[in-house]
Amino acid sequence: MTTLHSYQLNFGPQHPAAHGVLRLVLELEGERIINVDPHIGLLHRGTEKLVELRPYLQSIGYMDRLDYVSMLCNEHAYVMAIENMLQITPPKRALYIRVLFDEITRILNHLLWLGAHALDVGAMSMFLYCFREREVLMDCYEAVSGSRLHATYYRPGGVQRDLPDRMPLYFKGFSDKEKEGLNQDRQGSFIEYVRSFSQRFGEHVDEYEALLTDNRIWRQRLEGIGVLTLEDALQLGCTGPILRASGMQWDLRKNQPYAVYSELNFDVPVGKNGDCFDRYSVRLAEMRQSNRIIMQCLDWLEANPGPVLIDDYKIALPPHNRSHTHMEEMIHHFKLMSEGFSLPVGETYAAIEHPKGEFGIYLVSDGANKPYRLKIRAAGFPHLAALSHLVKGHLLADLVTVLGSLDIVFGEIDR
Amino acid sequence: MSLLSLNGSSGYALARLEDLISWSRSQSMWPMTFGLACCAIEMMHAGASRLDLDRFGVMFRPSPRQADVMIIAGTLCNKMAPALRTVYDQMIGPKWVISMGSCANGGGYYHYSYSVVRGADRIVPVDVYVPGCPPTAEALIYAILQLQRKILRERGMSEDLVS
Amino acid sequence: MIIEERRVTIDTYFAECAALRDREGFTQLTDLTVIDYLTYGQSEWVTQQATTHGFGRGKLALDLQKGQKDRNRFEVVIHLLNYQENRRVKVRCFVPVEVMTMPSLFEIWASANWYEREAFDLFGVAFDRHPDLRRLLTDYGFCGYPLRKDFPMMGYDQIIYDRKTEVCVHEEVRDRLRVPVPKVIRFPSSPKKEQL
Repeated sequence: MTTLHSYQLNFGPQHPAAHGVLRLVLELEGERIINVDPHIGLLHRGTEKLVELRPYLQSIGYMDRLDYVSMLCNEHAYVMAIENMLQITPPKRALYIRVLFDEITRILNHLLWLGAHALDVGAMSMFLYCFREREVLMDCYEAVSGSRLHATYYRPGGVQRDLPDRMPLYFKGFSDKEKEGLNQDRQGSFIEYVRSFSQRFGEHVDEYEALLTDNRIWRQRLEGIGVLTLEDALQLGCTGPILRASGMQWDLRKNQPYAVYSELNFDVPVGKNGDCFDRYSVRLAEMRQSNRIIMQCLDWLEANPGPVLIDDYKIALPPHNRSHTHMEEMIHHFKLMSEGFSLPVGETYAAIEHPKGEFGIYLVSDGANKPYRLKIRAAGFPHLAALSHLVKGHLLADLVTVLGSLDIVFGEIDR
Repeated sequence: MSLLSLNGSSGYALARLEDLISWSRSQSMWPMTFGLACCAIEMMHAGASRLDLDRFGVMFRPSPRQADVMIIAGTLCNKMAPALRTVYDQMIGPKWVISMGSCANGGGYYHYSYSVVRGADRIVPVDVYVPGCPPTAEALIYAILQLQRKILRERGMSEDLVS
Repeated sequence: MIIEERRVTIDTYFAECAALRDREGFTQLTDLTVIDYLTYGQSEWVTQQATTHGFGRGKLALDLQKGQKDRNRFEVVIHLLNYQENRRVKVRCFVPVEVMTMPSLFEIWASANWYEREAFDLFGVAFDRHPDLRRLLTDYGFCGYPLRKDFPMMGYDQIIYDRKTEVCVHEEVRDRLRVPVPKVIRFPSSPKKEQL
């Protein structure tokens, strides 16, 4: 009589569907998964310890590199924690700019998630469509901060600089007709550029839905896979779209509002079954809602000019043209750049609704110019821990689907 | 250095075998996806819609056995280093390595960390270093073009003896 | 958002957490972390008064020996979230330094699993009745607890490929850490931990 034994398979750190560096040790019986043991730490860079080495302003860049597909949201949580400790509020225009970029970041994240997830499941052309939109949004990042990916743009007290009133234009290497086409959206200011993207984006999401939502193969691969009940989701520490797909009406932007979310109109999509298809639908709907928020922010920003960084030079840098010619500004610039500001003794926990879930920064200060302890509560950490619960009994191919639907990025898990 | 000399009347062309081999290797470099961290996102952008890498003959291959270039994109950690070396050893020569981003070049932003390898060249020999954090997708394409020029300068035949 | 803070002792830690879940409805453990108070309140550069030894390159070394065996050196802090009532609470408990062990909260909230593994890996705080207490983030065979204050920033060893033996080997870290900005304390000079 034949007996079945389980065997161990290494789903190694270098794998096209491993989403970065993930090593899974699978215990399989044939194709069926008995147990999954994720080995993480292959991208553990010691961020929490390195942050204790540097003053607060120099660590904003570390936050970018945590969840490297949604950069400015990580910065937002960190900057909010510092503002809580200093008890300052940025000017309103800065808050609107932050919300605008948070939503742009949410769309960036969901686009990459959709492209990568579809690529893993097998729908390869989605990748190219999503990255086409992402290029436009990376241009937004670049216009405002100079860097396409890691824009160290937020500061405690606001944002570093105001939105530009001109966009860079293509000028060399193309024929005149090509240039006209490429520069079509870039004729106006930054706000007009984002507005033209925002007006097109609804149709693009319709395209993605047309390709995937009613697609028989997509549905068969995603429906009923990786079901997570609400009870389990709460126990396992899941937040964000995963919790909403399991049926919980909870969004930190509505329930514990920060920045100017309380003044904006948007809906929060909630799923029913908690399977991969629901997680997909929730994120797709979130993209549409983000678009809605972006349009409202653009209207407000266009109508309300103003300062974008607080006036207190002990915390925020003085304007550049003044710091070279005026004594007070130069002294403040020097002290800020050489020593940095110090936070009072105390601690705080600041959480935001990150595209992946609840991203929190727990900051402990002993009165110094460097953090004493900075704990990064990454959204994906408990999600990956929940993986072994989600895939028990599924087939090996379903593991890839579930892993994709959890939206895992190793920068924030391993830190 | 001209690759061919054409004899217009007789209809034949001459080239050195070494040059032809270098040329063909440089124009169809198949990198292995070794995206570790943020630089992997820029690498994906280089291969995606706006800046297409496929037009340079560059196709990303998931298996090291089918690849001849390895683009180390991201921070190399101590835990990952043996895996990197294993994958490099599995690649079949001639092979080249592009170290992308300041973390892979010399530890980068995480140089002082206890768990980071201070430069991928401590583990594998590197041919082209791309500075940036992350290098823009265009910078990566420039690096690939530089590697193509480097391969063209190499002697085609003798490389096979040293794998 | 005001986060209420509760301090518990090691004897009532597990019972209080269970009560928070069952009686007060805190259904989710959002975060579990450890703080090492070894160099709390120590400064690397004295700024308020003139000294004979605090200037020039201005770096005093932090005293890493003084608080090593302090009873209140390690503290576990938990963040909980009550979805129904929209409340957050923070629970703190000092780790008994002689045994360096806390009861595990895995039976109350399943999300504690990986958070406690991480705390064990990075600080050396063990958790009793944890289903699977192994290292999580650091390298296989790593020695030491990296996030403790007396662990050097650059670590003790690093990996390099040895061409003779053709394997990746560990070698000692010989580089010196360059501290770009010394730690300066500008606010209350002797903060008391109990005030937090």
